[in-house]
Amino acid sequence: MIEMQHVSKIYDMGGQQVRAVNGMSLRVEGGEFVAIIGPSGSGKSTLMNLLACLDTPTEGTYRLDGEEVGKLDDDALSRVRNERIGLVFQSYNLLPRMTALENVELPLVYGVGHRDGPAARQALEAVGLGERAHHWPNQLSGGQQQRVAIARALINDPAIVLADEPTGALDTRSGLEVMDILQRLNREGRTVILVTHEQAIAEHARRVVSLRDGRIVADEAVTRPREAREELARLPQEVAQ
Amino acid sequence: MKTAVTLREAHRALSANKTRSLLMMLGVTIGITALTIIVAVGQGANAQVSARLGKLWSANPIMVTASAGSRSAGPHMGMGVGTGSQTLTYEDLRAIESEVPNVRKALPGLIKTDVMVKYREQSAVSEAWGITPEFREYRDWDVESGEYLSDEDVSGTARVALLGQTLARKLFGEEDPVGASIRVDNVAFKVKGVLVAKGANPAGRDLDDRVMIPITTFARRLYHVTYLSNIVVQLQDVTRMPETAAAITKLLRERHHIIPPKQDDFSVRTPEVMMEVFSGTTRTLTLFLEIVAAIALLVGGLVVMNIMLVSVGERTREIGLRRAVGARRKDILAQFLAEAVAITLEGGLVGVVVGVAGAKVLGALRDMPTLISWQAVAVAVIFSVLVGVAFGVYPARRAARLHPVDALRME
Repeated sequence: MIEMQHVSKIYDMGGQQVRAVNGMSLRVEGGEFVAIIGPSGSGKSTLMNLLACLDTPTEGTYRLDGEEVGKLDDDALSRVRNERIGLVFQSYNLLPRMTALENVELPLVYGVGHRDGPAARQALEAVGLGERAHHWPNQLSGGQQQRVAIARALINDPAIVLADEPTGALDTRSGLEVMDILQRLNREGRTVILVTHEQAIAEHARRVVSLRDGRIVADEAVTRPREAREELARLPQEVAQ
Repeated sequence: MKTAVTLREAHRALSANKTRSLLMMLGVTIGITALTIIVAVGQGANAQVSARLGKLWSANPIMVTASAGSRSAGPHMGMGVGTGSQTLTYEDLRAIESEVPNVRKALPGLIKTDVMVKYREQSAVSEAWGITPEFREYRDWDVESGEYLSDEDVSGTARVALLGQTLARKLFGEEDPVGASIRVDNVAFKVKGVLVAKGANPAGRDLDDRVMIPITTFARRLYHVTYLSNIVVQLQDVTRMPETAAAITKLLRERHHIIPPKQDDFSVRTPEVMMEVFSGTTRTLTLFLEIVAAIALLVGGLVVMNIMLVSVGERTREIGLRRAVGARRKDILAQFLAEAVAITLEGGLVGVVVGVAGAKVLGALRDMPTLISWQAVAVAVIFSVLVGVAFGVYPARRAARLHPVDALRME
């Protein structure tokens, strides 16, 4: 469970203080699918970084499963990122010198426990890329790369998946495939938080939080979320590969 | 992060940019090559010196003589029974054996000059030495005919003598002295053997003009002395001769209650000239190579550091991603340090190979002794790793200190 209270992130820009996130309070229960939407400069990325424990709040408290993140040291934050959060980026962030499988295994390298080969292969199979395990990232399409990135995010079986504009660089079909996977992960019980600036993408979530100028301006449940699987089925066949 | 994975990733990062990696290796390779040659030449010279010293020292070990004379005085001038000081004793000998480190054995010696030696009607003024059987081995000085003195001769104060060749010729001419009866300062002795000719010592003194008798006979039957003329000290490790000589001097000053400016009543002589073997070409070459090694390792290290910094800059996003999936600062530090060390170690190993070859060529060309030992390889490896750590730590720290958010934002 995510619980933010009066959280601010203040940057010092040439002597001027900028509140990228300004006194924000947000609560996300386990198993929710939340989209965070807003124009650029609304504080989406900063909020995302805070949620992902890549950064800590300047003010306010952020509790993750009851634990106050702001009080953790760098090593503890690294461990939280490693074990409890799966991150998906707009630009995939795959390491070019590693195969798909090795990219998926990367978080295991920094983990405490002992998971290995089979887990990474299963994660790749779960995103439909079991056959491409030994391909290099540049041999994969954008959509495939993003699915490798999702497999990497899932390798340590985190309760929370954070996706920052995961479809931003993808064509419609690939984007929908990614959304389909995220929806499936949510159905399996994982908390999914999606950051986007596209309304159509946000509507795949069951709750949409709108940001503007570092504040939450709207927080609404989505009555009938879009189903990516259905949308994929309706896409014209000739678009398919 | 697991070491094996760190190493594998370091290797991969380095093989991804071969030109750059070779450039990084070059300086270290040159430095380690020079270093390997230094060690090889140094150890070769050392071995040669040790071999020479070993020979010379066993023939000419530390000699403690009872004399207030200066070190530059000739070996036997103004020494010996009746002329020198009488303070050197068997107790001193036992103290040297038991208290001074690196001493293998100490041997007593008595000398008397102006000794009248007679055979029938022939007589000659010579020099008498009271010795023990070990003298043969120490001085590498055997008999040419007859037999050497035995332990029984010493314990039984036997009246037996060994003659130097000059003295033998003076007394016996062409006759065989072995078994003949002679008189030394009017005491009858039987000639047991004739010594091998030694010729003159560097000071021009004829070493063959002497008679050697058991030290006990010398002390009790002939001259009735309780002190010693000299103590010959044999060492375990001849290369540690200077320290041992100093320790002996210190011990004897204590035992003889000599406090400067009071003059020593003994002198400790060592064949100092031998140290000069180290000088000359070997030293010049070693100095030159040391400078080359130092400069090359420094430049090599700086190249490694600079390229690592560029690499950290280029891989900022990778660092951000690794941090995002759970790498701690120390994992990033370890990763970049491993890369730096891998490159310097590889460069160093090439340097060892080139250095060994270089040392061999040099040895053949300049007729210089070189010795390749595991120490040389160990020194090279250690230096390679040290350079990697020393010059890799700054870039690695830069990488480790990047904030994950900033690192991920980098394009």
